[in-house]
Amino acid sequence: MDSQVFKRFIKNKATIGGSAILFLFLAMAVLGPVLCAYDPNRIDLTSVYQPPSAEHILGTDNLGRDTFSRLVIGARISLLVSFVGTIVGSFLGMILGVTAGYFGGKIDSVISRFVDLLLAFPGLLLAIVVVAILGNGIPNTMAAIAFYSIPYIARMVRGIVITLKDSEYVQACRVMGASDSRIIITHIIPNSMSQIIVNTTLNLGTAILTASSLSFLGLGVTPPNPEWGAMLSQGREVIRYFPLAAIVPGVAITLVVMSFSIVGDGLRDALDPKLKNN
Amino acid sequence: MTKRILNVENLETAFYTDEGIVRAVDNVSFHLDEGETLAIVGESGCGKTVTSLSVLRLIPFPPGKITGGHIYYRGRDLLELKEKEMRSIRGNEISMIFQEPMTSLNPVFTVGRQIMESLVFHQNMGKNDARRRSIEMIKLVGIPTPEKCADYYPHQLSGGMRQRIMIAMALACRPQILIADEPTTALDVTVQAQILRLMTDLKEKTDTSIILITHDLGIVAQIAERVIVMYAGEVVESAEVKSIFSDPLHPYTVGLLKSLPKINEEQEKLYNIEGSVPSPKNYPKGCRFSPRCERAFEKCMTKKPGLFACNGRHVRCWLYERGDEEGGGLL
Amino acid sequence: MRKILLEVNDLKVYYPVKTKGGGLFPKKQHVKAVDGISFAVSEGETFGIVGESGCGKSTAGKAIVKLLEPTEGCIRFEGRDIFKMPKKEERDYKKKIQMVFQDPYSSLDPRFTVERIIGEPLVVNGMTDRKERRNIILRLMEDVGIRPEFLNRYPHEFSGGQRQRIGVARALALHPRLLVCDEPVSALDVSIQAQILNLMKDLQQKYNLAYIFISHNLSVVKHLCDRVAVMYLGNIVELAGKGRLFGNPRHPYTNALLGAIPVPDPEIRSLKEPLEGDVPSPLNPPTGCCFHTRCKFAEKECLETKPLLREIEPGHVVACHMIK
Repeated sequence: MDSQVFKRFIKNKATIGGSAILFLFLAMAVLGPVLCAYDPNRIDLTSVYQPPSAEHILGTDNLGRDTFSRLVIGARISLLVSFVGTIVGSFLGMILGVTAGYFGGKIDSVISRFVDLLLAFPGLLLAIVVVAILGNGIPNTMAAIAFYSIPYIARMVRGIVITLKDSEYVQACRVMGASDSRIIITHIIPNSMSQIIVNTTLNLGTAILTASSLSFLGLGVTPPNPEWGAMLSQGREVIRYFPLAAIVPGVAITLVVMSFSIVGDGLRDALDPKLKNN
Repeated sequence: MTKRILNVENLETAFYTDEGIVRAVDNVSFHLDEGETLAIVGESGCGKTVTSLSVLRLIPFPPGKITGGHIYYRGRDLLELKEKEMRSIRGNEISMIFQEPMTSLNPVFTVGRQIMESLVFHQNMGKNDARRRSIEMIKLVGIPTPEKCADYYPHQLSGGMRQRIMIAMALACRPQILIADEPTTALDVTVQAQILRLMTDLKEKTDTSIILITHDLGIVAQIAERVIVMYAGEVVESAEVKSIFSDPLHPYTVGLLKSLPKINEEQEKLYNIEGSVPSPKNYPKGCRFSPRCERAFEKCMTKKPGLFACNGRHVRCWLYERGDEEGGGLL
Repeated sequence: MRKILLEVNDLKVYYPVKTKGGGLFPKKQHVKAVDGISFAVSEGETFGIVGESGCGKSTAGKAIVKLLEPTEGCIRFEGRDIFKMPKKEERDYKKKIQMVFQDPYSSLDPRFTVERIIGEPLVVNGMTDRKERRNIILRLMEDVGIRPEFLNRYPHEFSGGQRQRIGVARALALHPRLLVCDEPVSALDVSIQAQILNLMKDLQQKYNLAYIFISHNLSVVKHLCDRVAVMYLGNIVELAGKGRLFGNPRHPYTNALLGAIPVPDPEIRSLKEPLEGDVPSPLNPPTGCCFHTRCKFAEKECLETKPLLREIEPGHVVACHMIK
């Protein structure tokens, strides 16, 4: 079965392109320091705003730091922040969603109202609130992103679980005397997993965007850490004289967000071909 | 002499899927006379529904496509008409009712308005005439308060009522042919009996020819005049309804009849056809029924039988080879 | 006389529903899905429940396997009330009673292999040894006619009939005494239906199983069952041995049901006088006899008082005022 999913996945050219771009950025993040010729935080005031050259392939910024090195290390931070944040958020969302959907009744009402409350805020605003309460820094940005993705996943999972729990195979399991926890772990969660994975992937793109927006606003990852949003923010100030400083992080963010979105769609089509036909 | 109004010749419909070509309908030929009820029976996946949708050219493309054959309706080949001409035939001269009436009715319009719509579209009727006519139609299908019923929305009606409305809608333009695809499968037995009764009554009143698609041999016996049995995309037998039930020829038809639990007989054990229907992606060589057939011999496994004529009937089986082969031509 | 295995006594299952039109505070109403039914099933017997959709036959089946809590009434298995059992006894009960479902597509978890599906009841009930389990699974597969090499296949690789066989094997894994079969063949094609019905008969003889066979198809019920109850709007209207029910049906509804079957014989014209109208909503069941709205014999008495089940012959009970 899984080989079929893979076959369908690689059939779509856009998905392959998206995956390739993601893989490239991921490799960049993993290899990180090996790729960089310079310390990303090394200030060299003798060579500020250098155009691309053999020494600095993407030029330098306002403090003479090597843009390529900052982009690479920034990828580490951006991807790490959004991965951890989104996965933690998805996990918490899944727990909330499964609990609400499976047990129903009062528990469901309480959880659903809480989720509605989170959804009532615009996502970025919610993240800003979290960072404002917890303070700046990488772990707190992760928490903000986790908070941001909890309600979406929780609501989706709840819907899936409600249909799954009435399915005949779950009933059959109950007839044979299985406990609720067994039913949840062996039937409910595995059968909602594909949807959770797809939505988590789609959320990853938004998470990158949120993380960057936070640092763009000066709220997320603190300087001098090279974060893409922060780089973009610095580049914005000199966009008229030295557009490259804004273009490089901007293009990186766009590419990654777009790729996550494309890969997420591709995953959905591969995991659930019925949806695509409709 | 009865007039022949539909003549399907060597119809082939295929679906192009990721996993390969599915020949859902393979070289199917049949005809329909005026005022006749023809039943197409077979199990799920035998191609009976695809055959009927092909006649109306309602096969979704992609992935489906009619790849060959002719469908002559009053001398014109429907497969050669332009989409616009086809639209004036669909729902007007040939109409169709489906298994699940709820999905074929639009939930946001009253049923009266939905019946009116096809009258206005096809017959250029004025609004008042169309409304009068649709109330007449609702009355015709046996709904006691037609004026009131016309203002109901589909969800306010029961399953049986909805199917009556579907029939009223299908018959509103006085079609020549009514294709009924499993019209009672979603209904309860007592309601099914009402609808079947209604269909037989209406046929007498309106003289519409009916193509009835079903898997229920009981329904076939009760309302059809002629029967086509399909298996794995092909016609395996065609005959008058009486001879099919009293003297089935093809081993598949024989098995199908024997495997029915009967209400008026005591049976210790049911006959069963071993195995299951072959996948259309992977039909057996030779006769498609041969792997499940008790009477199969060597030739059946290697060579595909044609449709042989036998006492005015047709059967696709090597056991009846002595008859003249018509090679899937006219039935 | 065979030993009585299961006794259902005045079982009522009501569902609360919120009806529309109540404004801000919708009125709570009850759907009387099952409204006081009683019957008993003996060891090794096949008991049929027939009726049209919404008559409560599936609800009754679900209450028996404890998928639903009854509103009133009790169900006794081997003399013990199944809704007042301690936990441990309940586990024992669930081993002795299993269910076969209607839809062979949704009753098997698509992510499980055949081995896991059939073995699941064993795992749930604490059989941890993999080898021991596999032996039982292979024997069950042989019982239901699935080839042993299919052990590691997934449900989507099988046809409907084969899937239903897997469902039956799963139900048999714990050596149950009673199988509740909810429309087990109605999703299958005729030729496959016969295979499953024959399989069920064979298994019954082999393991001395009792069946509660729930179906809307009278021909199938007649073929398989020893005794049959006819349900209408949550009530049993007639209950008798197969021979009597089909040979000498007394309740007008039973007669109408029998008359509505299209007989697969063009020489016999059935469907002469179909029953009129639809089944009333179980939200608002008619007063008196639940069938009076469609009954051509109905009189004043039928509108006012609900007829009770009376024994008119040994083992043949009917709920109708007009039968004296």
